[in-house]
Amino acid sequence: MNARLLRQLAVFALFCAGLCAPAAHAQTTPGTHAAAAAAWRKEFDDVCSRTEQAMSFSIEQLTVLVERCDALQPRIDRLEETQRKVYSVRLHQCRGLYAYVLESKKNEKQEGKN
Amino acid sequence: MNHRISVVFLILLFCIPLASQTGTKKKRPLPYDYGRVVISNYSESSGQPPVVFQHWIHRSMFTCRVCHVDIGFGMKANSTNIRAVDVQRGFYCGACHNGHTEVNGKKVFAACTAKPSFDEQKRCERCHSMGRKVQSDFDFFTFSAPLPKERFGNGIDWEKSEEMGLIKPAKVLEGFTIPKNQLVVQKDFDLNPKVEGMPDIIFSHKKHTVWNGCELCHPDIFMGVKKGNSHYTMVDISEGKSCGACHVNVAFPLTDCQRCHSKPVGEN
Ligand code: HEC
Ligand code: HEC
Ligand code: HEC
Ligand code: HEC
Ligand code: HEC
Ligand code: HEC
Repeated sequence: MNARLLRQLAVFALFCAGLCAPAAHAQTTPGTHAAAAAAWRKEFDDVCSRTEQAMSFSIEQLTVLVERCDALQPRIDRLEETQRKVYSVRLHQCRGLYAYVLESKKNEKQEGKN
Repeated sequence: MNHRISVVFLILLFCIPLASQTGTKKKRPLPYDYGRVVISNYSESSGQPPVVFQHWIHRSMFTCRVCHVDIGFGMKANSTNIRAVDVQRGFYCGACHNGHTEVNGKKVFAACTAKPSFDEQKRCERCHSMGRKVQSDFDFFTFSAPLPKERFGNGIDWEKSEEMGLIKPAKVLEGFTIPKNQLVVQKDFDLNPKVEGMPDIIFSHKKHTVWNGCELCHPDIFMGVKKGNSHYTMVDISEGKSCGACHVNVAFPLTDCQRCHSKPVGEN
């Protein structure tokens, strides 16, 4: 009897948790919410968290980072208008920096040869 | 020879401030209005007065990077194209002004709502304040009184204020700033002077990166890849190119020649 009541309570609690979780989520800031939910955002955060280390990357590593940025663009183009606007600008800055440092490193290598 | 160059330099030194006074440049703003931005793409056509944004209030609490990289505000007035819906969805001003984000233990007042009640109208006015006499929680003179002084701009030495710990601009806004594992900044360097006999230009990559983030400067503001390859004149700079992207409207202004044109003291 007691065990059954407990089980019922447990099921009920699980049910409640299920109901509450999405509601609680919706109240957090869009930034954190998206980070937990969306794969594109995880990739964005991963790629663009390294801009300040750019000088320590090799030409090969920088090339990969630029390619990963390019692969993200079509995914960002499919977002709703506010996120598309915000993240297009952020991706533009992030890609631009990697491309800039890449070019600088390529030039340096050229000069080294001469 | 050397003498002739320094004479030329002295003449230039005199002419530039003069030119900026007589030219098309607007008159120098008052200390509390330096860094003031009026945002007015959509407000007026929807029956709200334009928005007035003050840098001095905000830069005392956040680095430029938080807003201009992590949130994505543009570096020119009205370039961001902020819509009320964006703000309501928690972006741009709504990244902080959403009624629940706390800064210094205080919930930041919310921004735009679709159908404001009568009580909410007061809140709208705090931002949609152009041409209105609005009560503010911030008094510039009280705020700036304890801070080290500067002759130009806001009249505040922002760098020193930070060094002395009098202001502590946050480098992170949760949900917007991407957590970083480490900060490896490239080796610092000075920019080479173009005119012989002109004192070297002080520029710290390290300090600027902490304030602004690499991606704010490269490639949008500085695209020339080779050190010292892209040359600008002071006229270009005063029109907002190069250093002028920040040092005309928000960071200490160009009138402060010696802060850029002299040898740095010690290693940065
Ligand atoms: C709290 C956010 C925030 C912070 C912090 C911030 N800015 Fe801004 N900045 C803005 C906004 C918003 C605009 C207006 C953008 C628009 O109208 O599209 C702006 C505009 C500008 C402009 C253009 C001004 C003009 O008159 O055209 C410059 C330059 C600028 N910021 C530099 C800086 C610098 C340098 C710092 C750091 C010392 C800084 N900002 C810190 C939000 C911020
Ligand atoms: C990074 C966070 C952040 C962003 C982004 C931000 N603000 Fe603020 N703002 C604050 C904080 C914190 C305060 C201080 C609030 C308080 O103490 O009540 C403030 C204060 C203000 C005030 C002063 C109100 C007064 O009493 O004088 C105005 C006006 C304002 N913000 C407008 C804006 C506008 C317009 C935008 C967008 C263009 C914006 N802010 C973006 C954090 C932010
Ligand atoms: C924290 C600052 C802030 C507050 C507070 C604020 N707004 Fe806004 N609002 C903005 C900014 C920034 C814009 C963009 C301004 C522009 O480009 O003209 C804007 C734009 C608007 C627009 C233009 C329409 C559109 O489609 O973009 C309307 C309408 C509006 N706000 C209504 C309101 C109302 C109503 C309130 C009060 C409940 C309010 N706002 C409070 C910052 C604020
Ligand atoms: C305030 C703006 C600013 C910031 C922030 C900034 N830079 Fe620079 N950077 C410059 C300027 C100015 C030059 C000299 C370029 C020129 O003469 O055109 C430069 C030059 C460079 C160069 C080419 C010169 C060389 O030494 O090879 C690279 C690469 C570079 N920066 C990378 C970075 C990286 C990586 C970061 C972040 C860790 C960064 N920059 C942050 C302004 C900035
Ligand atoms: C924010 C930093 C900064 C401030 C402040 C500044 N300058 Fe410059 N100035 C520069 C830089 C950077 C260059 C070099 C540009 C280049 O070679 O690309 C320069 C170049 C010059 C030149 C040579 C190019 C030309 O325009 O003929 C002169 C002369 C000059 N500055 C004078 C002044 C005077 C006078 C003042 C004060 C009214 C001043 N500068 C304030 C950064 C600054
Ligand atoms: C992206 C914005 C930005 C750009 C571009 C920029 N600065 Fe700054 N700079 C700042 C800010 C913010 C500060 C902090 C002090 C202040 O706001 O008055 C600062 C401070 C400085 C200082 C004082 C700190 C130190 O290093 O001793 C010097 C000197 C300086 N800048 C020179 C330059 C020169 C020269 C250039 C162009 C080559 C330049 N800056 C470009 C934003 C910028």
